[in-house]
Amino acid sequence: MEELLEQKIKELEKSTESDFPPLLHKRIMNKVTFLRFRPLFFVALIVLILDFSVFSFLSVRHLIWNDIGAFVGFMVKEFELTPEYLFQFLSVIYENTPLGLIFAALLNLLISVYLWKLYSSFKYALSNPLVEKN
Amino acid sequence: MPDILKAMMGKYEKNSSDAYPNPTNSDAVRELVLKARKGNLESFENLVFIFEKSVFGYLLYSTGRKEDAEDLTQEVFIKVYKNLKSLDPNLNFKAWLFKIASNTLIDWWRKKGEERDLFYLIDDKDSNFETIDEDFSYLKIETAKDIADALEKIKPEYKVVLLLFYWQGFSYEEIASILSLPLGTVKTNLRRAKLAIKGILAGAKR
Repeated sequence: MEELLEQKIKELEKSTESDFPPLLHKRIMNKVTFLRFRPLFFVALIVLILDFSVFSFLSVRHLIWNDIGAFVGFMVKEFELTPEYLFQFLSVIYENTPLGLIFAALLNLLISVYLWKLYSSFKYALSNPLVEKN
Repeated sequence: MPDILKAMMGKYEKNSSDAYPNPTNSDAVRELVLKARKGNLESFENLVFIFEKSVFGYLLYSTGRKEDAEDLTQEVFIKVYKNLKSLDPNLNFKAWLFKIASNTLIDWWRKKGEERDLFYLIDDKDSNFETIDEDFSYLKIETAKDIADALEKIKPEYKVVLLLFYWQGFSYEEIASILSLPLGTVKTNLRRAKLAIKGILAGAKR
């Protein structure tokens, strides 16, 4: 009887194989892959946020040193709707504003937001199997 | 299926005389564990391939619910992945894996505390195990489904021991380690499990 019991329990194994959910392996590996890359993702995010902070700080410092606020105030006060005035205004702004730094800070911010949204959507998809199955 | 796994499965078939190769002590599994510990994702995937069906089956018959078994199987392998570095590669990987599966199962039972009574269809007080003889020969077990139905009705403690012993092929000592139970309790539970199955099958015949 012992053998019969063992044999029948082992037969359950065969029937279970057909019950095995076809997407379960994929779900496990997706989650493991996500866990594996999560630290790298956070490191990338921290680096981007640090870069953004540094670029923002340098941009603001540059603007303060060049007294851009006083200049803009002056230009607004002396405003004239002539091509000469507009050209002069834009060229002074261009010369006194760290456009490269501002662009880099904005780019960092955009990539950080994108990465965070990507991370959230992966996390949501992996914690909701129905979303993944669909 | 990755080539390395096909090769490994071929190896099990060659080395094993029965239809259910047991990769527990295989050097190949140990090698996969060592590689997975070093961060090799392909090796970890091969380990998942080898053991996912048996873990799922164990959890399926222990919980009685396919959806829960699916979620728990996933949880077990995530825990394995997270804790792989703490595993001594010289230890039995399969026993360690089933210890994690059993602990996950116990946690699940705790969370479903209010539903746990469902598993207590047979109570020690109601069944006089000592008076039931172990002769099963007069019972006719025609299909594995008869056993599956009987498994549904026995206490989880008994069911788990029965599945680990007969299905997964663990020894008494290994089961004691997996379930963190004294050896004597494992032997008693296994005997009671067999008798409980017998009691249910005999009841079904009447």
